[in-house]
Amino acid sequence: MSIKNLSLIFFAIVFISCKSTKSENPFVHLSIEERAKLADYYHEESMKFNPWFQTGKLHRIYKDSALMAVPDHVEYMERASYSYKKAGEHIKAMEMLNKAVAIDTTNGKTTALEYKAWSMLYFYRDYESTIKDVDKVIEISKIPHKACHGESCLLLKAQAYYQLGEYKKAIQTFDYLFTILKEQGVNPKDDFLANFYLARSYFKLNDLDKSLFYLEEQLNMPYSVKAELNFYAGHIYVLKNDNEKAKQHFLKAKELYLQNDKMNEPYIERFDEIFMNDIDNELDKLKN
Amino acid sequence: MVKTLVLFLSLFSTTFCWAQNKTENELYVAGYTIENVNYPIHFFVESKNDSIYLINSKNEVHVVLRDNKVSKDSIGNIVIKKNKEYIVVDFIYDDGSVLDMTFFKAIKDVSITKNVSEVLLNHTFETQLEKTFSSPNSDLQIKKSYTFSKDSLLIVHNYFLQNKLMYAEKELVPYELFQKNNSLFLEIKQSKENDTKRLYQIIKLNKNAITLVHYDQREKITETFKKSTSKHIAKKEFSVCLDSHPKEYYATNPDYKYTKGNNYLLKKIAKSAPSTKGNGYITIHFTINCAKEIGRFGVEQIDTLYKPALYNPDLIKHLINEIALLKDWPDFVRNSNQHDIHAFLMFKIKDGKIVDLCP
Repeated sequence: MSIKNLSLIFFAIVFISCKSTKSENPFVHLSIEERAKLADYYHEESMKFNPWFQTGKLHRIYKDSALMAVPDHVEYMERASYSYKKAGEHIKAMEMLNKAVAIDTTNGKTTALEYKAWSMLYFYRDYESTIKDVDKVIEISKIPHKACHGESCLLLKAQAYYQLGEYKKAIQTFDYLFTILKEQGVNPKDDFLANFYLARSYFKLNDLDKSLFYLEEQLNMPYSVKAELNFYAGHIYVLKNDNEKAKQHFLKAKELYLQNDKMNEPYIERFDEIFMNDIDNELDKLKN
Repeated sequence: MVKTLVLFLSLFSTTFCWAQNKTENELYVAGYTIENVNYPIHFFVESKNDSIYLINSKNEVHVVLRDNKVSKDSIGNIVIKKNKEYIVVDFIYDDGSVLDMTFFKAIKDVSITKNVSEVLLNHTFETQLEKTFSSPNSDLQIKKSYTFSKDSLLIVHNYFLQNKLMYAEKELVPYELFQKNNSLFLEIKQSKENDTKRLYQIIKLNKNAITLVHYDQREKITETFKKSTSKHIAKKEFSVCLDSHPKEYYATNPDYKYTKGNNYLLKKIAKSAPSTKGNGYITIHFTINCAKEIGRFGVEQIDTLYKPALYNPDLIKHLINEIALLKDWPDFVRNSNQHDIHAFLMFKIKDGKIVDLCP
């Protein structure tokens, strides 16, 4: 083969590989600033979608386009993962989220990891990972009372222990959370979820009086969720052989349930959330 | 003089050709209205002499609009956006809301046998889908078949995993075949609850195969059905109430959850579940129609690292069939564009057993 032919083949290979690179990312020729601007535009467009349509193809095209312009943008990557998580397409959701976490934590930031901790607990019910992620968030941020996607990271960790059946560790974590809240001038009783799961942890340890104490304390708080509190108080009275009080609590739970004064979290079902058949079953048992 | 005449004639012929192009009819077939939900419509648009004609499948003209202009009618403003491949007609109402209709250029390169009825009637054609129109899927092999009879079309979805049949569902729906501007169309009424119909252009038809084209969110979907003698007989009937993308489970207020909760489902479904090997999650996707019936399945199996995995197909079959029996779904307020719900249940597997249910 002549040198001329070899040169031609070499030129063709270089030309094709350049072309294929271009087709993989159409923004490769733009400056960093231009790409950032373009990504912001695509992101803004994607945010105009009603959340109902965030699992759709068009929303994803905008998200993918933003990431094509700025492939390592942690926030855009994390937000793009929501679309897949909401649709229940977990391979893609977690691939994106894990990548966002890796980039973020390498840069000493924890936003993506905070969301992952929340997802591990509520979406995947992977309690060991929740504890690991919360510990890492606190270790990197050096902030003991960090928020993980709208909830206290320590609350997530304590619930993870509760779900793992490690009730003493759950109680210790709630107590630690309450100590921090007090230091910050916040009344721990205002944290309904922490007090509710603290009560449930004592119940699981058979400390019925303490469990009832925290449930009743929350029943007197203005912003607590009352159907679940009454239901689990009723449970305790059954175990204390006080069927009359148990019945009163179950009936109250039913009334409040029908008024929608119950746990009702978007996207997920909370631990120990109750349903009408749970209340009816308990009332039926009392009849027998 | 001759030179001038030749020049004049050339100019005339060029102008004539341009005029011919301008007056040539371009047929566009309805993809959908409301792009995000893909609400089915059965209209055509013909583009002719700077005007576009909105025509129904019975060839009746509904609206005439000036091309590339903002028009006004009794509804409000109408904006036409024209692209090389499609036309979007936006009806803008006084309150600012927009109703979009997207029409795609009819495909001209087609190959259709002359004896259409003979080829189709009483024959079954089958295709494999990546997913159904209403539920995500990564693991099931979904086979959809059409069996044509004179008055109706039998649609069967067979769901396989590792070549084992997991579930089968059928529906009998009205259909119509008709020609428009030398193109052949199949109009299917798949919505159980209203009269919406979806248009499919037949771009290939012979005794061995039929190829249909329809559209979803600006994407052209081509499905080739091959003649089949498949003997899987579906017993379960399922139709969506509206042939559009369903609502997501979280898009209702409150979320669309099973009325008896996850613990009830876990006890009921895990009770007699076959065991498997490994740790991870099995997600079963499904669609709940307005009559609270279940169908249109999808499956995603993952390990604890959220990578693809494989579990015992008998367990998957058990999960799908148990879910198909669930009746206690809440009522939901339908909007006019979505009458069905997409939901999923994600079973957590530990040491081969179902231990939890998310989300």
